Amino acid sequence: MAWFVLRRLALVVLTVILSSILVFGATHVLPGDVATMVLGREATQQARDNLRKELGLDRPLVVQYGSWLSDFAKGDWGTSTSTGEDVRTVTLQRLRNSGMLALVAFLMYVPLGIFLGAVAAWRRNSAVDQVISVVSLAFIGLPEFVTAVFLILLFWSTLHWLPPSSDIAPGTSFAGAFRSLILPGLSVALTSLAYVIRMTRAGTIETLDTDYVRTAYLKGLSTPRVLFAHVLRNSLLPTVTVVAAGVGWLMGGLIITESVFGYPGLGRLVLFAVQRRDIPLIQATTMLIVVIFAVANLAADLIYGLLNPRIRLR
Amino acid sequence: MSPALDIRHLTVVYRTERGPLEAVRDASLRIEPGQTMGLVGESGSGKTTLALAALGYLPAGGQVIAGEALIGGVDMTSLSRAGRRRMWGSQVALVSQNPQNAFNPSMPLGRQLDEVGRRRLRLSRGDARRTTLAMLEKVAMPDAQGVVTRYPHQLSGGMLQRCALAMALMADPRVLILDEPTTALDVTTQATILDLLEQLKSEMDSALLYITHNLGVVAQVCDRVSVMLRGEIVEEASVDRLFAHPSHAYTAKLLAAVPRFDPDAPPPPGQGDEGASAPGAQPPAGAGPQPAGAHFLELRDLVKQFPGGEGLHLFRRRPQLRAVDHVSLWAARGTTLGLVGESGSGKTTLAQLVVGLKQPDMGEVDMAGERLPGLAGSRRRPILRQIQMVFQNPDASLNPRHTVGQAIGRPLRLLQGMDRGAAHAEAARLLEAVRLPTGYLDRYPGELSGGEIQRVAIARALAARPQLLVCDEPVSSLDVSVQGALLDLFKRVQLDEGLAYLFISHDLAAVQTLSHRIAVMYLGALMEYGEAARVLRPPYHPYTEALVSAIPTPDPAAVHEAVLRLRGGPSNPADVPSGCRFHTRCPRFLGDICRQQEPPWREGDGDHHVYCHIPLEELLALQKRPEPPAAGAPPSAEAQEV
Repeated sequence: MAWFVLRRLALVVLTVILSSILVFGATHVLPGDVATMVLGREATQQARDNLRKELGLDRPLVVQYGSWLSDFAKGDWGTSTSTGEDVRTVTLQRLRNSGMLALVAFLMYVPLGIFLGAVAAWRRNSAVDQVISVVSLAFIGLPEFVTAVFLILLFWSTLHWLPPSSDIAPGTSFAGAFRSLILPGLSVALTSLAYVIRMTRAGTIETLDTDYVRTAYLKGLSTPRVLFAHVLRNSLLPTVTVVAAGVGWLMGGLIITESVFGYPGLGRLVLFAVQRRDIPLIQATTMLIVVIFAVANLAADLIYGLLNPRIRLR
Repeated sequence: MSPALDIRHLTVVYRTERGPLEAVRDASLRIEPGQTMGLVGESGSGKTTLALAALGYLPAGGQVIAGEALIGGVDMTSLSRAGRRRMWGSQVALVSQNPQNAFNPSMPLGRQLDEVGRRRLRLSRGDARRTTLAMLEKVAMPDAQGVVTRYPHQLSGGMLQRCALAMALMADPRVLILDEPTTALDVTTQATILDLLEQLKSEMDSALLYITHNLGVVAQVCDRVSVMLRGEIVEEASVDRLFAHPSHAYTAKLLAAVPRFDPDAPPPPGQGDEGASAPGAQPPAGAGPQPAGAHFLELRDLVKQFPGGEGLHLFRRRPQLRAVDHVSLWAARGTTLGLVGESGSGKTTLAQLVVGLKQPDMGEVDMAGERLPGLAGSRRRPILRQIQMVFQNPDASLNPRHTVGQAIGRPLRLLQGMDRGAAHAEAARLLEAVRLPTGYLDRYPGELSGGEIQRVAIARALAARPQLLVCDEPVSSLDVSVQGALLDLFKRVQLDEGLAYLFISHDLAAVQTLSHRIAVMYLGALMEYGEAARVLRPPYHPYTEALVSAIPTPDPAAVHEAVLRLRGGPSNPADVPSGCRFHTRCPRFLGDICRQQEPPWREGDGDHHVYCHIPLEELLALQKRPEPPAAGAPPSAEAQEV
């Protein structure tokens, strides 16, 4: 297991370093000169050269990359060129918000998805299975913004239960933000639910057909005992990987949902940074998302290893 | 006494897309307590369906439409699911074919066995574990304390099957159903499991239903036998009666198909008349020793290692697992070199080195005087054509989306440059060569039986007009009756086409029918090799001796002779024992000399080589069977010749 963990960790580090090169490279081939953007078109060549020197932009790219990476690792993520705020403060603030939203969505769709998937597999080809499959497929097919708008229409316009906008103030506590988190969380959960259901259903059907489940039944075990002790642990292996890897997307990829609800998460910050060509902000947010994805995938591998002795004890 | 299992006029139907299919028709079967009934038939004869119906565990679509199955007087076919559940485990238990699939892969074995005690017998945690350990002792499980903490993938098939037996017997069921319990195991492991069953039988009064396609196995463990053909039981008799006077023609056919090990059987044709069967540039190879380098196929000092070991190896070298350890062998043109050993002995790796699927770390493969590059990718096209392979699992070795004609036609067009028409005609000829109707050209592998697919695989290999056919356990996954026919086919094809075979199997009886020369491998190294007739009769290497005595004898009278068994399970290839690598399991273990020193190669007549500390004469004396007329014959090689 130690070998397994170390190898995975090394892969995470490698992923992050390669991504940092891509992020740095991409932000440097973006059209537009930083000095011109900061000083304006009327600035003299001399002033621009001075600023470049001041910012270290006249150095070779490799040296620039090295100092950028070491600053980043030390926690100095620079200052936003569009708002003048400290990039680190803003980004971490948004990361916290994204974490709250991810948690709410996660708690909504993972247990429900596993439950419905297992039920669908258990009652395979029955009416229950058909309904679960069709409804969940419909939600996969619906674009996120359609689901979101539909939820707003239902819970705000018609029922007046929940606020349509989730634009919480910076630093709002989880309890304070909770009402604002329900609708965006639900919208994300509905889209992801189908994936979890389908993975669980497929895995469970496969497991139900194995010899060892037959062995378990023929030992005279009760159905719940067979399901919980012998079926689920094995059938959830593929689901665990999908779900854990999906955490990365929940934290950094919800650009559309966050935009529709006006929720100040990491995804919307990326969008903002790109629209403003705010290089330090782009670099910080994308690097953060890379790290989240890498760690989420590492977690998926480790959980998989924990559940699967064939990998753990190899 | 009332029977433990009483199946009366049972008919089972499967609903299929093409209408109902009768899998079992009007089958009746009775087993008294303490008795063992063999249920014998080919795949598809309905044996397993009958057993599952008796268990009340038919798969979806299966339905009992007539008859009943009484266990201790209770009819399983009329019980509710809850009622059947009360019977399962306590009244009736099952041991299934593939032990590796029969256990939950993510739960330690101890907990899986405890479940029976905890959930069925309502024992406390501690009592359940004590019962588990006691049962494991009963099935002669070495290191029971260690086994309970291990996961299924950490145990060999034989050990797992012992666990399965312990689990099935834990609640002392009235009926124990064994569905091909040894078919997936090595012959040596099968022998030890059969010994165990025989012993358990005498200790308990459960009724056993033993399902198998191999009549040889039945002779050892069963009291009575039922023979099943196309869903019907066609004959039922005591074992002795059945083997002596089979009353149904089908039973006689099954009996004839059991591979019999007979060292006095005539050697396969082809040996010695090499010039006639394959005119070529090679000088004719006589039976006597030849100068090195003159053989058609020559493997010299082959070594193949794989990285092995567990955990991190930051500062130490990762241990190397030697799958093939300095192996040298040869075969003459148009003859068969048989390669025998248990799983893990390195047979398959050796085959892969010959075919060029793996690069040897050391040593050479020569064919027809030419040194072959290690990997197939760097071999010349004619060489690729000349070496073909037939794999173990027929279902997986043909593309399911290609018709038989396409599968055979492809190498014809690719390697021989035939056009579509010529390829079609040649494919038809090849089908005839493997005794299949030419109408099969348009069929898909899914429509054929396992034996037929293997025939197609042979035809496909022949299409390249090879000179060497490497066959890796080509008959092991097939029914015994099909095996016999295929072995005959291999024999005829060799004569017709002048092919050399490298024929790999764990079953000495199968190897014997084909081989001119035989090599026995254990843990990557050769133990014995030489002319087939020499290897197959004493003096044997002790390992060969164990392989020979593991072959199930289809003769109830011969079963109770003294038999020789290997100690323990196969060793770990990553941790080869010191001295003689076979010493940990050797039935003729001498002592420190075996532990500390590598044995010498002892040479006998006819290019016969044995890797053992015991001199050949002593081996012969130990192994010579007391034959009634020649009981006092001196133990010498000459005496054996007569």
